[in-house]
Amino acid sequence: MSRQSSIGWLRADIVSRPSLLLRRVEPYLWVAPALCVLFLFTHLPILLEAVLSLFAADGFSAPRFIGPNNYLEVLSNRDFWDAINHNVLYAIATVAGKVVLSLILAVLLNRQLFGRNVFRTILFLPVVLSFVAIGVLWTLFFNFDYGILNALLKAVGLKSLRQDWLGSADTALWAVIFVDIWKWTGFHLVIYLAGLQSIPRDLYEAALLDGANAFQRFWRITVPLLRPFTAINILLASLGAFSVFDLIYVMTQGGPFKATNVAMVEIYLQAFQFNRFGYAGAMSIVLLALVAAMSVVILRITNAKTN
Amino acid sequence: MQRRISTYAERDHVKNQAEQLLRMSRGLAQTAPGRSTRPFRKALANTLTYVILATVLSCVVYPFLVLLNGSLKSEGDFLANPLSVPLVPQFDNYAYAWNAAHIPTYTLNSAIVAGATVVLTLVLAATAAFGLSQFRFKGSRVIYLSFILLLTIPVQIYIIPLYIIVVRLKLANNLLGLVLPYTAGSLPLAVFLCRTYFDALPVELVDAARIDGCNHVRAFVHVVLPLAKPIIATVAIFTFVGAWNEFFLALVFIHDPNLATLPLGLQAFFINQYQTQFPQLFATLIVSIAPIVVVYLVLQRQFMAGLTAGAVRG
Repeated sequence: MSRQSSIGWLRADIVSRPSLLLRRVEPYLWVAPALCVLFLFTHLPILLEAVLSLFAADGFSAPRFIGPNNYLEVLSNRDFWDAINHNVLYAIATVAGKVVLSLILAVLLNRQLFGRNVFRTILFLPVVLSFVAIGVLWTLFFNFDYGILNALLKAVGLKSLRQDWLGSADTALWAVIFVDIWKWTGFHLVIYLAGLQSIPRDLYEAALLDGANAFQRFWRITVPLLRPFTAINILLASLGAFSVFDLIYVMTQGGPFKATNVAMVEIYLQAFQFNRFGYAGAMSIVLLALVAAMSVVILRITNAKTN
Repeated sequence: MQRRISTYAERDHVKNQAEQLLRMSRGLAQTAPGRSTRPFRKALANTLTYVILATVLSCVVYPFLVLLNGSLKSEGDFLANPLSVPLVPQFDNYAYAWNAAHIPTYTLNSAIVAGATVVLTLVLAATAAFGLSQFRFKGSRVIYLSFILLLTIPVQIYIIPLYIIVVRLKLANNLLGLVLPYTAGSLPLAVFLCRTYFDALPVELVDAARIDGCNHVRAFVHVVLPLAKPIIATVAIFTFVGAWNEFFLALVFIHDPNLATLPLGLQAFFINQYQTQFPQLFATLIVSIAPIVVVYLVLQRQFMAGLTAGAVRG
């Protein structure tokens, strides 16, 4: 059952001649360890979640079957849909910020430039740090009394613009969005740089001969040929935006007044503060459905454009 | 309107005029839009590029400088003016971070968890990818597809049943209870990357080894693995960084402070701290990010390749 070169296999068979049973079973033995771990800690929980969402379960007493009641409650729960709205806003803002910023930076960095590697190395640094470290860092910077942001505003004479960035419902979500963009731009930049490497130089030279200016070359060559990379950047950034938890939990815990409450924070609270496992499970399934639908739509749109 | 040129003199005159015009136009072309403005525009573009890059760069670098600066100040000094440079650097804050914040314990826990996750992921992913790449067998497509489908499902979404499973297995409050789910989390991408890599290796390699009397295990260990070093490095890096930085599962599964990983311990310390102890918090933050920053600066190319591998190849 070996691949392609059957002659090699026949000869090897003559030499080593494993028993027929072993030969039948061998492929499964190679895959089994990984499959066991993956099944126990990913496939099984996903399947269980669908079952769990139909029960009233608190993790202690015996679960009670309640049919679609959890889903009905999720659908009519104002807090959950507010949270989803925050996720949508978060997704649009972070995707736009990350993609536009990283594309511009990638184009600027994609040529012989003094200090090019240093730029790239430093811009990528926040990517390797944890959301917790970065969340703590920026929470301290956003502090009203002693944060550097307000200190800088005061130093340049814009004292009136000082804000309680994370403490006010108007600015909190935007502050977190800013930090998310700050952390991940370097990541998307490196992906775009890989994409720019794949564009043949002669295209630009031909365009130059035809008298295309820099702006036209960017819109007519760079942007279209980077589409697959834009697609993956948009997809990864949106997936991140719909499963965001760490940054919110560290910086605002969903507050003030639920202004930064996102789906995962709501699920975490329902499951691990109020022990409503079944209800939180139903929320997770709804979120999963939304994420799956969103992924399909993003891939469809970007693939259609590529073709 | 056509004009008849009758005399030789007249003809010469016209010829001279034409040549003169031609010379003038050439001169114009050489001076006007072409040569004189290009260097200027190029310099402008370069300057603009550097200004934009420098602005973005300082947005990233400045916070770390503030962090370093603040960590060397006394509390009173900091609260008086967060931006001033300390006259006498205070290293007490670092002693505080080292002792009171238990950063060494958390770092050790994170190193154990991340190290074990990397080893386990590499072993499981490489063997599974070899099996999937080397054999065609019943169910291989379904198994591979079930791996690939998991690529887009974040762990957060199935946290509740995962928690129940971990509790049932008596792995809650146990570092192994983090290692196994972390491994499961990085396996889909690891298997995908390894399989793609193995598929690209020439088939003759394994066949030749088998003709020489190797079984598949020996062919895998002695022929395939030595060739797979680049992909092993890639998988090791994204698995390590993922496990080192993971917070959510640790928050849900670990309640014993002695078992806290770095992100979990840092978050707990941050919440329990007085709001004014900025310099101590800055120092703690620096101590806690120092190991990964140092490793990153040494292996920056591998880090960038490793962390974007899934996106670039996927």
